[in-house]
Amino acid sequence: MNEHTNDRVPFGFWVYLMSDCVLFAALFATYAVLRGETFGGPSGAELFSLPFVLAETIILLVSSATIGLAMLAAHHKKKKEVIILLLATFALGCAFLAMEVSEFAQFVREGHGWQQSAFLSSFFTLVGTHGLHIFLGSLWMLVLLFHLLYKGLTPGTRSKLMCLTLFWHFLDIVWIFIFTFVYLFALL
Amino acid sequence: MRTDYHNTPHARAESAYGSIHSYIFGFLFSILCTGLAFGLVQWDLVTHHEILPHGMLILVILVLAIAQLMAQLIFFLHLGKGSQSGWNATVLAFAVLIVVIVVGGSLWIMSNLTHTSVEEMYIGGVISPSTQAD
Repeated sequence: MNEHTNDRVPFGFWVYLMSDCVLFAALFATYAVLRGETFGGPSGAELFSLPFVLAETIILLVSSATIGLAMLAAHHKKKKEVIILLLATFALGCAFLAMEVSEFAQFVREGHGWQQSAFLSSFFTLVGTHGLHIFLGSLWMLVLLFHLLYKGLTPGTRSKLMCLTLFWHFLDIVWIFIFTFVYLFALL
Repeated sequence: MRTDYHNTPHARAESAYGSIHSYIFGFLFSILCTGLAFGLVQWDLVTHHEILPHGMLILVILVLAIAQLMAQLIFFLHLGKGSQSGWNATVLAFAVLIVVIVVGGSLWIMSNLTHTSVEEMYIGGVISPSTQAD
């Protein structure tokens, strides 16, 4: 594979990420408009537990760093290191998902599901869409791990890892804004 | 960077992937921003909204989020490095423009709309201010 295609793949992926950014913008706008419409149900301030969300944020931040280091290790052709760091990222991604699902399950159990108010509908859509991205990213990571084990560090797997790294960093950036606009702003 | 070395494919790739230092710095900076924003909001709750004026606190938290965004774009995504950086930045700028229009526009239009429709209902006698419990 020549240098040209190696450069074009991440660029095409970057264009996809920016269009995903627009998708999240629409969901953020919906949430911002509907956040006050609680229809007699609980508001964000009554529902959210800030220390729990801080733990989620830190898990995602650490996973963003570990996948960046995996990319760096791939650049230095250290296959074993790449696999260990990707496994760590995968574990952190799963931990994040588990925390998010348990948060959602708790809300639904208490009767505050997405059908209760416009605020909760938009909350579940926004945070759930981010969670779905994390879920798909984790699946992608698993597939890439098998690729790495069987094919090794080829230009093909490196380019896939590059895209996954961009994707994961992007999801961390989206989470910063969810943490700020959804969780922190609800408690102000 | 040394200019003679800078244009080799290897050096270009190196700068596009960043270094371990850039990741450590980006990570610590992000932790700091997150912790600071969290601490401010927690402290605000404990002291019953007395640490800073409300608008000031919102501004500080916004600045922290944007600082973290910039740090991650530079130290994690290595924006501005690599051979396609001009195009990457162009696409990013376009996305930011759309985001500002979608989010800003929605908030602006919807706040106007809520304002007008509630006022019309008051005038028409459908509701009175006292029935607007929330």
